[in-house]
Amino acid sequence: MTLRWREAERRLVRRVRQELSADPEAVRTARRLRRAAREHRWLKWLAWFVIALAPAIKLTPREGGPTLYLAMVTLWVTSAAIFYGQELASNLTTSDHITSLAHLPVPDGAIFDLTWQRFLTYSLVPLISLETGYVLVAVLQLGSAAAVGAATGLAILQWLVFLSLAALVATLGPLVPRKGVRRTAFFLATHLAMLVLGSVLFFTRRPPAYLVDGPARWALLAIPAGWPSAAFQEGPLRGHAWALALLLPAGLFAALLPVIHRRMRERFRIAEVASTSAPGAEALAEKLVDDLSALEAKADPLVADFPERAAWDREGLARRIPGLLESHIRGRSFLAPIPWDGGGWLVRRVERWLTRRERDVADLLLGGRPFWTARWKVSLELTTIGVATALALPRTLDAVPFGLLYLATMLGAPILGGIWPGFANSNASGMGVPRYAAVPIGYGEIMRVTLKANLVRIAAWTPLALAGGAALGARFGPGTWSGLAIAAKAAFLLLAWQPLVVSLHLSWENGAGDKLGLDRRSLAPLLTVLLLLPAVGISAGLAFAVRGPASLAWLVAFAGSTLLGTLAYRRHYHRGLDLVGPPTGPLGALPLHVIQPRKGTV
Amino acid sequence: MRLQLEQVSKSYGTFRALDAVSIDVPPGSIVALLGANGAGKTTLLRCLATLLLPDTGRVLCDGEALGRDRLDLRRRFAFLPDLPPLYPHMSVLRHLGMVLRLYGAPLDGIEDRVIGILRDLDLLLFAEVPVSRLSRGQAYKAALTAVLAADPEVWMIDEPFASGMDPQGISTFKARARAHCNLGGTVLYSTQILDIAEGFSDLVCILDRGEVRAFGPIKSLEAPSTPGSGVLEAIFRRLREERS
Repeated sequence: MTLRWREAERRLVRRVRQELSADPEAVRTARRLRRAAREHRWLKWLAWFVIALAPAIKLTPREGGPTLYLAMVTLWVTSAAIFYGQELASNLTTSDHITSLAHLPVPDGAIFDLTWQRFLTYSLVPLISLETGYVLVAVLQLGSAAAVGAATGLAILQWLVFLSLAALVATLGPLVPRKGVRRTAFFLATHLAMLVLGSVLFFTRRPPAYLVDGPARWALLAIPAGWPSAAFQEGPLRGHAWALALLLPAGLFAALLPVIHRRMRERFRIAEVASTSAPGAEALAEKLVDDLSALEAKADPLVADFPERAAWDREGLARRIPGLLESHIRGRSFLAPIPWDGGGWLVRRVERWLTRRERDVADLLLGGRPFWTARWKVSLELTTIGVATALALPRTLDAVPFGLLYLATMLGAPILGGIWPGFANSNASGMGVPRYAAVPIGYGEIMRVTLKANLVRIAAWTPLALAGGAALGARFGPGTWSGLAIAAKAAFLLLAWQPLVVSLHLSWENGAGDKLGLDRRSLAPLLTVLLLLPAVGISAGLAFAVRGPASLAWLVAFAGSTLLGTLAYRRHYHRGLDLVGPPTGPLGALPLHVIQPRKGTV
Repeated sequence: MRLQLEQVSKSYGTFRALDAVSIDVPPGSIVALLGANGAGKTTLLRCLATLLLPDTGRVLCDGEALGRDRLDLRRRFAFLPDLPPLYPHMSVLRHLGMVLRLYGAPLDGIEDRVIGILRDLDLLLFAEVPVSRLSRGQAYKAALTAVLAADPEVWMIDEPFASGMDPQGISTFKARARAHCNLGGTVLYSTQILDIAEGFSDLVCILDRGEVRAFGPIKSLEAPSTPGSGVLEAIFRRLREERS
């Protein structure tokens, strides 16, 4: 089954255009609307090709480069397979097309087929680009047509292995937590290895031998997605005939794909077509009655002994519930800020610093109790282990302390400004409106709240950064004091970066970047972006690169440039910026009560 | 609060959503914004709510220029989009409390006001239920409760009659809007339901491709009367004929 009936579409389009042709203005408008609706998908393709091909072109000619590149591809493919598998599982339970098709006379099997097709189609974008890297490696290393042919074949095999792996993950259920610290940790951990290898590939003139012969080579052999890469490495690149044997497990793994597909298709059922939530609300009210009945029964043994009295009490209670709620409202507890009790010392510290008004604004921006202390604690644990491993582990495992401290930083410090759900947009009349936009709160208030919270978080993270910096400095050569100095600079830069990064965060959600053009109002912010962002980047780079007083000067320059950027954005926010952005997702970021999950089984 | 729009224009790229719109809304009136899809109703409301900034022209509130930085003026009105942005895990009361605090609403008699509104909207039983468990109409009522309880001078409501609210919700909204206007408040709302607009509004503003085609009391609008159809329906039929 296909969603599109191309022949009918063509005929209808022809007919519609014919109908409009009498009115030149209508023709022009229709053309403009068509153009506006077109997506620039080629940009995404281009981005993937750059990511895939830049390392291949730059690094393959180096000694050991191909191994690292192939290891990077392997890790990337594995990580992508896990996420694509999760996405597939999620799309088979909740997705916009299930929402639409479940209301039409479409069999479940056809819905599964459509979801599967989408999965295959989306897998082509990153995969084809990365696999092109294979061919490039073959061209740069060997230059023969046979090698290019082998590379193409192995690339296709790796794609099939990727699909099998993703489908397997989809059948295994939600391995990756949907939200929270564990999801962030998983995301960082799966990409960390690739980032480390990618950084080594990109920034070292000569990759360390232990990395080429150790972790990178083992990654190729240990991970299913690496078997085709290992075959390519040992076969065409190194000329070992036994490499053909590696194709067998890869082929067997790829052969699982039709089996998994058939099994998933057979088991796929849409169990609940429309789960409207009103009954859910009534069920909750019922539950409230039950809970209160149970409490009363506990308090009064007579109720437990005489069920008919319990039933009578339950009915009476149901009648009394509005009264109970009324007395609750009269207690005015709903007018108090959302309690942050149990949030830990870091949250308490921020709460004490906020004024009453700022606390109200924080409720809107956070939507509940923040988890900063929990994150800081995980960061502390990771830092402790990171420092210990930096001092104790052998050199061949250099990546371990680096990785742990990287994770600790990502969790403990608001590098990208922190998570503020109030910035997120939701769909209203076809456009995304940020949550904060329709409420009378000002830019200054938003900035004060986010900055106070982030300053406290950075202050709490700084000792961890100093410990980590000292340990890394001692391990990687520059020395403990240099490590400390670098960590202190990083903490300062992070601090100075906060106003700008929060502005960028706001800008991202209200789609300000999409509106930058050459019209009168957006010229100033465009110039700001063109001039200030390079200044921010260069001053940050130089603050790290130079030592002594010059370093201090660059730190000040960095702080100055971020402050200028923030002030420029503030002016733009008040004078020239629309607070509506493109809605996210094909149906827009509809609130949860509009799109309810459709339950299915995989 | 007197709301004035002076030559307000707004474009999305090359599309002109509002074209030199000038209207003067006196306090104490219910104003219906009418127009075909894409006529500029929501854009007009968004400009008034400072979500959008006009390309040219200005919005005046009691003679003072409205800007996003004028929090004092912004606290005097509320804007409710057709799909209100609510935190799904928050209960109705939690959301209500948050909005009331952000508006700095007076606390005298707040409990009675809140209970009255929740009762009228048949929402009292769901007061502690998370928004994600509510139907679309109930969720809209939850957001409407916050507007009614905060009670700023100007209510700007996008498509209240296509919000999924039940008859009781609609009737409560109409009654409370009328009471609000009797006390000098202003209600601006957009709708496509001409029958309601005709019976419920003091003023109508008819937008057509970003331009104001008519603004004033319904009685003052001249339209060819056709048996069986109202004035507004006749006006829209004429507009459509003009366009084609």
